[in-house]
Amino acid sequence: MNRSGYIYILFILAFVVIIMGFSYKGASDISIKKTFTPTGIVGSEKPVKYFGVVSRYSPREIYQGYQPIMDYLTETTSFRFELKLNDSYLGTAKQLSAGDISIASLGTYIYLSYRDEYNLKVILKPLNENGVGTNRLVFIAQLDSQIQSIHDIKNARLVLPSKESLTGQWMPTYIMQETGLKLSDFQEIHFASHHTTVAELVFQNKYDVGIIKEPVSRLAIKKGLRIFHIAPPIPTSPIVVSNKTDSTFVDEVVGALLKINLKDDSMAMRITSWDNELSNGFHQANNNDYLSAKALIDSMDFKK
Amino acid sequence: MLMIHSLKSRLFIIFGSLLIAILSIGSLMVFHQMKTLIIEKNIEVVQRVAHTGVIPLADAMVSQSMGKTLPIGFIDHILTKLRNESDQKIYYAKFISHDGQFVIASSSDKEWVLTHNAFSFNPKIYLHQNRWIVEAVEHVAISTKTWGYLVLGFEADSIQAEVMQVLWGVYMVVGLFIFIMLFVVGIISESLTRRLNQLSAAVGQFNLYPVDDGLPDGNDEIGQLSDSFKKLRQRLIRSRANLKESERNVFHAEKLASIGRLAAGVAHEINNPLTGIRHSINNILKDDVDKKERHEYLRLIDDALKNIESVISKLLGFSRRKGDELFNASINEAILTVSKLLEYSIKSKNIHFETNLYSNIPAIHCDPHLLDEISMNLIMNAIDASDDGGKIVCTSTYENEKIFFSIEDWGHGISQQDISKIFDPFFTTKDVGKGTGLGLYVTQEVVRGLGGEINLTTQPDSGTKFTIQFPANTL
Repeated sequence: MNRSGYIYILFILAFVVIIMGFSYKGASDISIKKTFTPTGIVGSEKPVKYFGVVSRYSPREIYQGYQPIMDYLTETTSFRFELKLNDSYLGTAKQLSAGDISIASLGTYIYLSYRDEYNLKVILKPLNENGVGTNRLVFIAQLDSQIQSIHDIKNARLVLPSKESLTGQWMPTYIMQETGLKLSDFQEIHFASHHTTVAELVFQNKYDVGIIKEPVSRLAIKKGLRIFHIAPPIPTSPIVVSNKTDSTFVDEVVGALLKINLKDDSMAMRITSWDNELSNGFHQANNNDYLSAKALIDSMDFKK
Repeated sequence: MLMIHSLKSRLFIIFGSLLIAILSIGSLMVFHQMKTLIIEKNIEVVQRVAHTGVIPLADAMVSQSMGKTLPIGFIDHILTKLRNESDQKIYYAKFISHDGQFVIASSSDKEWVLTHNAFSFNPKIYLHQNRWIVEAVEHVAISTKTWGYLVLGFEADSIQAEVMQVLWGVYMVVGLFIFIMLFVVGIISESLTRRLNQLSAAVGQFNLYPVDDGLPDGNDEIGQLSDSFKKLRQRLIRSRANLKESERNVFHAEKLASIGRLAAGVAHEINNPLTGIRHSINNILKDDVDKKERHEYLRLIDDALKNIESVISKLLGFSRRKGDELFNASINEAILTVSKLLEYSIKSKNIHFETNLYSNIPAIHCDPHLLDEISMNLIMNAIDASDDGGKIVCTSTYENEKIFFSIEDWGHGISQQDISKIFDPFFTTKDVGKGTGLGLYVTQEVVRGLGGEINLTTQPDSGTKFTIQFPANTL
């Protein structure tokens, strides 16, 4: 073999050694650094306004459903919106009255019960998927339950939403009127904190029958529950401000939420991540829109 | 044994090295890919653990926003819970608030908090005090609401060990693969070159009439080469026969030409005895010749006839066509025989002809007429080149197992421009009709045929010396 042949072999050997060296170095050094960009605060330059929400569901679900609305409002108004959760409707009403929050999604029952005491003013009512400002209440049971109608619920274990909600207050009376049953005809009546909790408790078979808002029933059906009765609709939970709230702020919020156009594909897509009760748009509202509900409460002779 | 000059070795080295190079690059790429996968898998695992840790943190942040106070040692509690639930060893945990002002740190070992900038965090793997750390960062967030970041530092020496283990695995697999492939390449090289070597050996032991030619068969290129070689051999056999016939004709023609040139001298040598015979016969026919004188004349006639017979015998012997029989011939005898044939020509030019012949010179195993041919051509040329009263010296010696034979004259020599042509066929400097131009050509061919060499030294107007040497061991 001539000299070039030896050089060739040496070159190959050197090449192999270099490759092995590279591999060994690669194995010895595993350091990597990935890029990470901390999330910036959207609208950080804008004044903060707190949006009060009662944690009807779990706080995590509330954030998942309401934070996109906060982002939308921050984007379309002169303010940065932050959620302020409260355990109770009444607490939220008090926060609104005290100015700790500027706006809130309040339960119909609490609004109607405390609007005068806390100077509350309804400004918007959320729409259901039919474009109407009401929600139906549905009775749910497990798929294999023997209960087929409202007349089969005698001796059932009944679970209802909070007593601070219109559902929790009205439904016992409604059931008695519809079926002629007495409260003592039930094995148990329980008031859960949230509508989702009601569905969860029925799913876990801790209760036989649950009553929830129709928007929440979609989640219940996904879980494998069954609707066996639908009650008449009640007004949707209003968006409420204090009478003392700055009108400019109110106008901006009302304007932003009323301009939601569901025929706009990008908006329709965006709004799907919003809370079920707020994902069909809004109508401007005033106290007169809740007169029928007020009459219902009065007719049931509710007591605060 | 691997002969590095052989085609097999070259094939082995070239394909083997290419294989090694390709496998080396391939293994590097595979290793890099596997390393990336290992790292990504481990980062994903720790990221998942971090994600698990984020859920209670986010819920805690929500609770805090609802006016509840975080319990003391909350991060430690989360870290402890993560440590208990995770297979990964966690060195440290940091919660950094969204605005970077609220930092809670916890570690199994105080140094992590002390030696690290809390606000410098990235998902990364880094070396710290000879320990590999994989750092996972997870947003403490629900939806787009971010409260901060959970930064967890996990032990990563095991990742490095896993990567190193993979490297050794790759080395072993690739090494084994290279070994197997080199073995395969070796077998392929062997199978490719074995028949070539077979062909090479057959060509190397070339024999026009082999008992077993040893040529490889087959329908591939090597088989075709073997067939071509066989056809070439057939053509060579035919060419050789033709050449031999042509050579014989040339030699014979040259011999006849030489005889023609001898004719004058031979005629004279015959004519003299004939004159003597005629004279003796005339005297015998006279009446006064007594018995004693008649007897003397008859003896003279007998001597003359013997001379004629001798001359004719030599001439016939010289002119006979060369045969294929081989004998132990002597160069000395050839010189002496030819010098007798040319005696008349030598004497007619008053040339001093001298022989210095080595008495114990070995015999040459060949057709004796070939040596006669060589001697005749060279001596005749020397005579032709010599002037009246010139000198020719014939010498034979034996040195170093070689037979040397030279013819030297002091004639007009050969010009420089003719030296390169004198062995060419049909080249002659003699007058037309006096030379065929084949003498030296035939001489050279005969000498080469006997395995010898012919050389000359010449000087214009000073003479020429032809020296022939035959290697004794090839005779």
